[in-house]
Amino acid sequence: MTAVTTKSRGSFLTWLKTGSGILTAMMAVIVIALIPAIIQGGLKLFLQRVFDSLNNGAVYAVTAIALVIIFKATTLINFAGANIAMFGAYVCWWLNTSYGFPIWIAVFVAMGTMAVLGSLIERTLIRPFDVNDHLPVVLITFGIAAILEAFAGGFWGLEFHKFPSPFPSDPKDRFTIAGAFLRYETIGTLFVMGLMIFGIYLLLNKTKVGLAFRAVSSNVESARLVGVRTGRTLQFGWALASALGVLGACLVAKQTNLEPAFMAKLVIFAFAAATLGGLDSIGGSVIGAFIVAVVQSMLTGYGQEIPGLGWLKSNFALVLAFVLILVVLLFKPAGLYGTRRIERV
Amino acid sequence: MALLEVRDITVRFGGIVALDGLTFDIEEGQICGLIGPNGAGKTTMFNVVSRIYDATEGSITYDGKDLLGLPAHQMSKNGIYRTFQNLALWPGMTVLDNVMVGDYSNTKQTFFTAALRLGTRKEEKDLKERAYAALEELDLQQHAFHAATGLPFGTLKRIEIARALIGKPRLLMLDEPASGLTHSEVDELADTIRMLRDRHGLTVLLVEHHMKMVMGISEHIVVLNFGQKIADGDATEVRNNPAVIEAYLGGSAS
Amino acid sequence: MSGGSSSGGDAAIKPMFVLQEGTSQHRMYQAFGWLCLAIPMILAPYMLPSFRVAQLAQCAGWGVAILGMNIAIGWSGLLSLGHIAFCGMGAYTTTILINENSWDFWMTLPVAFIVCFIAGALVGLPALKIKGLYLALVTFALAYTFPILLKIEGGGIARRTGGDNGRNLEEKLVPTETIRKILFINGEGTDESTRIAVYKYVVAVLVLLVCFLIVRNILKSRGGRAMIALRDNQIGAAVSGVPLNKTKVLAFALSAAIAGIGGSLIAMVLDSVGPTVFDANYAIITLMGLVLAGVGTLHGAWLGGVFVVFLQDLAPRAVGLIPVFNVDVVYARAIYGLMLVLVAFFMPGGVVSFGRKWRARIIQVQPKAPDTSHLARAGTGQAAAATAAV
Ligand SMILES: Nc1ncnc2c1ncn2[C@@H]1O[C@H](COP(=O)(O)OP(=O)(O)OP(=O)(O)O)[C@@H](O)[C@H]1O
Ligand SMILES: [Mg+2]
Repeated sequence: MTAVTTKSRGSFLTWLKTGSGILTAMMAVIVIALIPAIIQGGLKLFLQRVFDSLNNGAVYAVTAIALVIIFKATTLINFAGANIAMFGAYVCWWLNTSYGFPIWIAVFVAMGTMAVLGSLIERTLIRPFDVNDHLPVVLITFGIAAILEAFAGGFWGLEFHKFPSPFPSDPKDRFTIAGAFLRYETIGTLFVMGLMIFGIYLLLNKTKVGLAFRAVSSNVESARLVGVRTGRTLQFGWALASALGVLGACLVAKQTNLEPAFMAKLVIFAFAAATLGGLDSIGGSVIGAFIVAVVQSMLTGYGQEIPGLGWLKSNFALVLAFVLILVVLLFKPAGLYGTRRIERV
Repeated sequence: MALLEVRDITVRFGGIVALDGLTFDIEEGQICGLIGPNGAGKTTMFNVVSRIYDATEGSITYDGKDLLGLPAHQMSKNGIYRTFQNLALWPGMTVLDNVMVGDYSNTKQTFFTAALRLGTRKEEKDLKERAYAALEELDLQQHAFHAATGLPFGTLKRIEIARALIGKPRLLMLDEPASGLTHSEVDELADTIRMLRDRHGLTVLLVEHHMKMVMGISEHIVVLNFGQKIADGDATEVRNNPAVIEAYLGGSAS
Repeated sequence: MSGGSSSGGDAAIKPMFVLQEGTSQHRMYQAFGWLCLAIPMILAPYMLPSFRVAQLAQCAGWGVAILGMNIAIGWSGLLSLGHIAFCGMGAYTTTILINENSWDFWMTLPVAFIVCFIAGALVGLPALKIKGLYLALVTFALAYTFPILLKIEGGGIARRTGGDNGRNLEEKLVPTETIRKILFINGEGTDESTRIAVYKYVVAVLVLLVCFLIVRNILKSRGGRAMIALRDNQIGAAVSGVPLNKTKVLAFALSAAIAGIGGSLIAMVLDSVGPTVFDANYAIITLMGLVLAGVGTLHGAWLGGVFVVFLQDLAPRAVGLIPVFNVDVVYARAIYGLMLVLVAFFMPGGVVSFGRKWRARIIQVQPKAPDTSHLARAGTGQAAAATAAV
């Protein structure tokens, strides 16, 4: 409530009490607690865990970017994002297995389909509402999520489906580095993610629609005043976010298998990543995603050896994601790289 | 000793200096006008006194006490009430309920006593009557059971005055109470403010762009421009101050 | 947040009847309203088959839970999606106390209240700093995490909660001889399962009634108005003297505590608890029940409980009526989803507000102006009081 006023920098202790300080301290505690287990486990195991986390990191990053784009455009947290992505992955799988589309073509068609659906959702279901009135938009996004989940289950069944890998995925398709395996799949996922971030960068910074998007996300009213077609731009944001979500889902579906809730189970990590990086920062959410993924992998791998925490077992990751969201929002609401918003009276 | 002593108040928002070393006094029982072009920092001053904004530097003494050490919700306990430039009513409640909340600081019921109705009925009845009386005083009783939204702007602003009044203010701060009123209504409002001051022994700090009204009812006027005080005195002094004329003609005139 | 009360004085609509508050007609009208509610509630357990009675008892349980949610979401404007976790806490508290410590059901209620009140305060503290959609995000994460926390094996947690399988209540609520006589279920024709169902129904409805009255009293008090004030405009509330932090934490804790009581009731009615009753899925179902019935309305609470239970019953059947979808029960979820969307569009105030709008066309109550004649007017009396108070 009290407005932010500039204060001079203090000592280490005052820094520790700031949001960044608390976050850093939390991370430091986790790292220090892990060190003995890591040393005991040896380099090979450690590297393996890092490699394992990269795949997840890339997927969280893509999913988090989808959330961030919608948040930037409409200051809305899209609770339907996960299921839009899930539905797209089903479409992709269906085109591939039932109609013989080559996997990458299927991915692109699915991305296109969901982009259209996303922009329709924005136009028909979101735009009529004032985004500052939170309850209706939350209801709408949850409603969309439930509908998509039901239809996915209805069309394609509730059972697990094997998702075709978009990358070479034979067990032998891997490099060996210091005894640890780095799979081609992981490299492919990272590569696609890199490409995608580059693409978004170009789209937002070098095109007219990107300029409009940035204008809208910095201030809708002023953007409208200078003649930006804000409605179209928001629609574009939703389309882009939906397409990205589908891409993320297709990248991860090989490991998780397809079922109607498979993205909903992951989205909490994407939320954690986006919150950590800053809900309005694309770059930040990528960094957040990898931090979340690495910490998740380390904690699930070594966590049981941390004295006093063994009982958390494999649930460590989820609990961590929850704690992370809570701590970030509490102490550094803007995240690592987000912009602070100042309230006016 | 003055009721409110403002000393060297500076407020910065990032690069913007909204208030710059502002110093002035308000004597008890006075109507004090605070004027200045748009963006001069008048509302910011209100927000500092009601502890919504932190001052970057400076001090405020109220009735001999340091004001800036207290949280926002304790201002009303000390008799400082205000209205808002852009309204801060609660549309989800009736006008009467809105006014009843105004006396929060002087009522005693808690969640617990209210839940079990442990001797809260009398206080409720009494509070309701006083709220209705406050509405009557501002001639608003016909709106008492209407939701506090959808009424004319001027009416809503007077509802805010009623809400402040029920708390038995000692210092009442009014932020542009005349905005959205017609000429005759402005005159009426001026009379009302003077009447309320006399009847309740108030000290009034008044922000208003309507010059005729401010000059007419203020015993003391402080003029701000770009966060700095450029003049301080009674209406005649201020009117003839070259810096004031410059600010109003040279700046964004209103 | 949709401000609920659209009180009298709507000049546009001319109602058929106008009643003056406090007149005998008004009192009769009020009594009539209460009877319309009470008579079906009293008759239902004796008229309906026992499985329906059991369902109604569930409705009451969820009704209490939703009443709790409504305090946070509806009246305080704290958009929490995590109240299902408090519900779960209440349910597990009751179950564990009954199973492990052989407590009486009634005794577990205050404990559940206190446990959830404390938990609510702990979650409410961060809620002070986390606003709007961010709060929705964290609390949704809480709803998501709660069932997982139940399965934690260390600290004896999974053993006490039963982990994935949940637990059955070992000591069921059975009416004693006297209670059976009081409730007229002691006759030869009544079998044991009916007796139990009726008794559970009565217990659940009584608890609902008590919670309803408590919440109503609070809403009509200083604290209740303060809650709405900080929902509608925090700055205005602070300036009027409402301590924002204290009020928010109290409101959140209270709402959690009442949701917890709802959970206890649900455990009692179902005779079991399990992680699938208190998960993110139910967080959404209860939210739907709340908004469908009426956010920020008192009667929306119990009505929301009815929706939670009967929509789960009806949605699959409704789907079955549409020939295209006849096989798949999964489409029932689509109905929930569709309802969430439709409510947001067409009935933001839910069924209760909708009903009120229609009622306003038929009958309106003119509130009675308080008598202010004894208050010293226009002069010295009040002015003297003012100076004295300072
Ligand atoms: N919360 C805030 N964050 C950033 N800048 C602010 C904030 N509040 C006020 N300002 C700036 O401080 C300056 C003074 O604003 P203030 O609202 O006090 O002016 P005012 O005198 O009340 O003007 P008006 O007559 O238009 O109401 C303006 O430049 C305004 O933009
Ligand atoms: Mg102003």
